Amino acid sequence: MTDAPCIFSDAPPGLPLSASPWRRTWRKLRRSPAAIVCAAVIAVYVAAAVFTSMAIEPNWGTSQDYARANLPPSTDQPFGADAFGRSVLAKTLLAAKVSLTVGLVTNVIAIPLGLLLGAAAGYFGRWIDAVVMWLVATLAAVPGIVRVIALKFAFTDTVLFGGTVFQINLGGMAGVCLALAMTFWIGTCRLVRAEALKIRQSDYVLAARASGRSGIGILFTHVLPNVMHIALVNFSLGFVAAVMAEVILSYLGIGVAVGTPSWGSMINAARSDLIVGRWWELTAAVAALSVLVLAINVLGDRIRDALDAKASAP
Amino acid sequence: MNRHHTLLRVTGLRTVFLTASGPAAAVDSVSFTAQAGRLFALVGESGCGKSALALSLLRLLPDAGRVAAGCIELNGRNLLDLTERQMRSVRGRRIGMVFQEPATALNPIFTCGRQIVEAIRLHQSVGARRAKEIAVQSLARLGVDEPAKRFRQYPHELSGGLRQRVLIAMALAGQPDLLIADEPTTALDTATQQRILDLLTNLPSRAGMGVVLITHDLALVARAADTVAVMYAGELMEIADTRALFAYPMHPYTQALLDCVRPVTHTDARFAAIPGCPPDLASPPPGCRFHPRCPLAADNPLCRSVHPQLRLVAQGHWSACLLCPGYDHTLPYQQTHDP
Repeated sequence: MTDAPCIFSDAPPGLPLSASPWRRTWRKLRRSPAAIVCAAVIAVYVAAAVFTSMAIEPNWGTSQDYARANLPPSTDQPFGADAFGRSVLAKTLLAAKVSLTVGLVTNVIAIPLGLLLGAAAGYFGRWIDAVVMWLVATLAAVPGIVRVIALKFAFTDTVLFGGTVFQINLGGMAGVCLALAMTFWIGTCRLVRAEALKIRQSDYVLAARASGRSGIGILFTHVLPNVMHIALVNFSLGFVAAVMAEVILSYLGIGVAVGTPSWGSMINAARSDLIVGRWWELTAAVAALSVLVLAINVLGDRIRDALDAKASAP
Repeated sequence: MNRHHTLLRVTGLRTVFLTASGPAAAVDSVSFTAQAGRLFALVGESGCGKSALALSLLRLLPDAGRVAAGCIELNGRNLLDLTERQMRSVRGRRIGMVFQEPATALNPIFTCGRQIVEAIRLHQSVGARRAKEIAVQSLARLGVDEPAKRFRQYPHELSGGLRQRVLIAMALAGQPDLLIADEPTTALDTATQQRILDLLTNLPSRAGMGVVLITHDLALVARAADTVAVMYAGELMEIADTRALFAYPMHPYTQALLDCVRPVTHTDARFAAIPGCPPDLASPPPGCRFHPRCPLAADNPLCRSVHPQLRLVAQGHWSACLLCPGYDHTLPYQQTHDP
């Protein structure tokens, strides 16, 4: 009365049987040198963001000293100083905090929102799908950057409602994060909805219904766990997009509050500097941004590869 | 209560699917009863409406399908009158279901054990640890070797037979009165088919459970079932005790089916085939649905105009053929199974 043990498995050789899909992904990721290098680079950024603002000196990047104004890079000021005599190195490091925070907070709001709405729309269909897709279509009809700018302004506004003046002031980082999150959930939502439509037709969902599980129960036990890989990949994509969007907004002057170091405002400040040969502020900001974006992109790519069971068959 | 009391009584069930070529009755005027402690087999070709019938019983039809008429009584309660919420408490707890494809009916990203535990905790108020014990025990009872190891494995790591046992364990987690098995052995190899079938045949005698076994495999049914119903083009053609059906098939369709599985002689060992193909359910032929393929209908114009219904033709033997000896169209369908 025994079945032969299963000797054919899609687990790569060397991996023990019965590893959870997440654990397998993690193991494959650990074997990829590129993924490790990128993770290390991101860790350096995180450390820079945390330690420069906490441990070293809070005002390091913002304290002005006109005696040092526009100093080129030297041993004293490795990245030089800006027009107000602030250390460009300090500004670059402190701006990492802004970028990472915006990337993280935006996606912590956007991904769960997109996951939940997308899965509910795809699985339940009917009016839930209609409402969610209407919302998606309406928001998606406005070009991305215009949408973010409009939302950003909406979050820093004085509204007259019922004779009362409401001061909505989510200026600075909170406003940037919210405006971006309100935009970014759309992509996740659409992908998750498509996947949920597929899962809804699956035999295991039918089996779960036949065993008496409720719709909400199936959503949480079967649909959401099966779309989590989308969330993970979208998190890395969304992180990069949010970091870059913050830079663009700050460059346009509607990003983080004036005085908060940001790569976007650094690039903006360097606009007029470049003609007179002051290249260091622009270079520092662009280099810091490029390396971070590259690291997250490559890591995200490796995560996607590691998650894809078909591509990694031995 | 009688040990073999009537568990499920289906009367005049009609399930309609909306198709591109109009509404199609995948199940039409189907009536039968299933008893506790007995195995009721439903046999028919692919596409004759067997699975539609099974899904109708659980009210899990896809969006395009709906039950248009009839009555499904489980322990005297009409399931078609229940709200969706009440129906949920019937699924799994009163009626368990085992599906055809063990490869896809399990969620690939969770261990088998976790899926059994979830099914157990859905129906029994037990803690996680106790549920795990019950799950391992039930796997062991279903003849699974090293149940604790299988418990930790993922569906793709198990063979088809083991997966089907996991699914049966899940279907039994709610201790249902009735188990519907929709082609549970179709995706399995012959040796494994036999073991799974043995498990299913043991359930009625051991647990007093009623089992409705849906299959296209007559040979499989011959030894396992207590009662066999033959389905064709959405309708039941014949219901009889297994022995009576195989010894004295009354309906020409049943006879033709049996000819397909047993070669006439050893010297002429070709398998017979039924000429023609099953009708389009959106526009079934008038009269008897089998008449275009029936060897007897050519000489009987009545077959082309009169639509026969299941009628008692012998003790415990119903047939829907006008030419059946003892068939009387004027009599109503009698439901009592036990004489």
